[in-house]
Amino acid sequence: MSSFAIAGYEVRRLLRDRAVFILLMLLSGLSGYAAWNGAEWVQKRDATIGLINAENQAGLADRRQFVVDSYPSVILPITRLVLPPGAMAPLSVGQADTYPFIADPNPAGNYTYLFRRVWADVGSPTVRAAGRFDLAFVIVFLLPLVILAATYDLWSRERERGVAAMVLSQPVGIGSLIVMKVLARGLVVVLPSTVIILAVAVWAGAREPIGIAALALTVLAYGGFWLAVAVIISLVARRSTEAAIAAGAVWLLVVVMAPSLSLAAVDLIVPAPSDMQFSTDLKARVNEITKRQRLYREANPTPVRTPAPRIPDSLRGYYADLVALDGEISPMIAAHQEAKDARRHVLDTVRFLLPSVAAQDALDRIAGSDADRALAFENQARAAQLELRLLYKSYLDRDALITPAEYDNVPGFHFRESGGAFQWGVLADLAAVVIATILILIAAHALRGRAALL
Amino acid sequence: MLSAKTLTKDYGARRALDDVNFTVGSGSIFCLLGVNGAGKSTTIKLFLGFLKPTSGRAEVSGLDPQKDPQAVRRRLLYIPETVALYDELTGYENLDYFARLAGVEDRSPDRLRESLAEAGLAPDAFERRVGHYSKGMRQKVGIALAIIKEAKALLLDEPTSGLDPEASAEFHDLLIRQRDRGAAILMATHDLFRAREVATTIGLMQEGRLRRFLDASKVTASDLESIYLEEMSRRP
Repeated sequence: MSSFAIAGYEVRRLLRDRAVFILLMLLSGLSGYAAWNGAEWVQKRDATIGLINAENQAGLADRRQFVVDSYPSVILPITRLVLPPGAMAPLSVGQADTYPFIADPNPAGNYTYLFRRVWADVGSPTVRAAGRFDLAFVIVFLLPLVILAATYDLWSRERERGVAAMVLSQPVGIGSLIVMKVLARGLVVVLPSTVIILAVAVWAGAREPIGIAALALTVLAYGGFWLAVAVIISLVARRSTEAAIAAGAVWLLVVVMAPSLSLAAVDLIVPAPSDMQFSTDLKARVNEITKRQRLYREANPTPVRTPAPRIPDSLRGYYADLVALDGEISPMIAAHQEAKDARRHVLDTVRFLLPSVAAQDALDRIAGSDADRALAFENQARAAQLELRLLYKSYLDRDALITPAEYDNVPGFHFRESGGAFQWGVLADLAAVVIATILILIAAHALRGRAALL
Repeated sequence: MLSAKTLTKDYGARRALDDVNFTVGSGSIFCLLGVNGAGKSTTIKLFLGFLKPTSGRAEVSGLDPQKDPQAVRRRLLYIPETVALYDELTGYENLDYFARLAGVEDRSPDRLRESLAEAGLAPDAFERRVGHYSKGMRQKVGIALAIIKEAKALLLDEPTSGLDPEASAEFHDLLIRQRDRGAAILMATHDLFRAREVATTIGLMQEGRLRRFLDASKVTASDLESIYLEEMSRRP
């Protein structure tokens, strides 16, 4: 019998069952709400960034007046740096709330200044809150339930009703029969689900064509994984109740338990360094050093030069202290960063073992709410801070005041995207999901004989 | 066509079938009579290849269902107590689906309808969903499959159990037609009266053993009943 005929009849049977339409309607409603949530989040963040940009413009104008007035200092066009939401941001809030999206560069500020707003929020439950009801949540948590609900009992129910005996008394290969039935159901459930998710994502403002393509691939790959799970459940479960329990247990394990347990395991192997402790220790150290420097400066005042420089020597002294401070705290920062990097490396590797985490990671990357993008912003902000400091130093060294023309021509900050929707990380996540699917299908092939047991 | 050769099946420590031997030739009906648990269904499942014999062989046209299940199933048609079909599909669609599974090449709409009609299904029922069918109507779809598949052998497991007398008589007429076209039929049943009417040979089973063979044409209904009760009351 042709596989298409099996699939055709399976589709026909499923379409005559109202349950599929109810499931898809439910998915539509939840997806719509999730997309609206995502769009709201983007709107709020855009509004915040809009306020910051307005503030930036006002600040630039105020500072420019000092330049025009030849104020005896190094007046640079300093603005707050922002990480804008990605083009596909309504898709997933991801880790965007757990990393800074604003930086306050200050050529005369120390390490703790750049992300001082974040330092203030370290450990705050609001900042650490995760698991928003966004489209990524619908895809990672709810789509598997929809797929399993439509497929979990496709063979066990036939066994119970006696149809399996009629089918197996015909010259058919049971393995290929079940695969075709699952694929047919997948066609009826996964394809419309993908269309629904893409439609609401576009409606919510995620309209980058390549991002939409990456989203479609992710949903299909993840849906394929759950169809493979349905195949193996169909082969193994003898009764629909067994199949339902197995489906629920696998969902709970793969989507809920395994990510939590793997995180707990990573915590045991590579404990997370405490940002709160680091922040407290660093601030204490900075206070200690700056106090020592102040006492030294008080005991050893800078000799008065004649003629007096255009920019006061006190600023040069302050700058020298800043550089010395950076040198002293850099081992502390490096050690903390090293511990964080080691942990991230382990977490990054573990995600390939868990299809649900890989799918979530892929969606976060497509949305631009992943940790890599946030860290890229941090790195670019630090680079911008360093550039400002070097510019500051050049004026100190030349003892020259900045002119209005120079002030106007200092380039502003624009976050440089490094990945895009089809970045390496997304492809690696998709590969992990596809490999997990293949492994399950290999196991299913080995177990196919169990489907023939009545 | 169908041969059981020293066929034995154990379920763990329990022997369900013990050294059973018989042959069902083309154009004949072999009825297995016996109480529940006698081993009738186990015998049929061994011919289908659903179960693996502990020892001995079940053969279909000389083929072993364990070694060559596809070839065996191409020749067989199985009708259980209730022909389980897809409730969401019509009788016509079910026949088309199972005919496709069976590898039937001529599945033209006319041929499918002819088979359903020949099996005694009313034309107005062809396009009704099987969920609304009676048990007798489902059995007819099973027979229609035997017709379109041109099955060489039919394995029937208490096919008339629960049918009203009229439907039961109609079903047995269909069986006789299948026999007359040359099919070998193995039927497990509790219905002594119908068994005597349609069978070529009757086998009495008790606790996994085939106790006695009877030529159905040489035994009256009352004799059969007496023999049956006598055999079933004997200790194994």
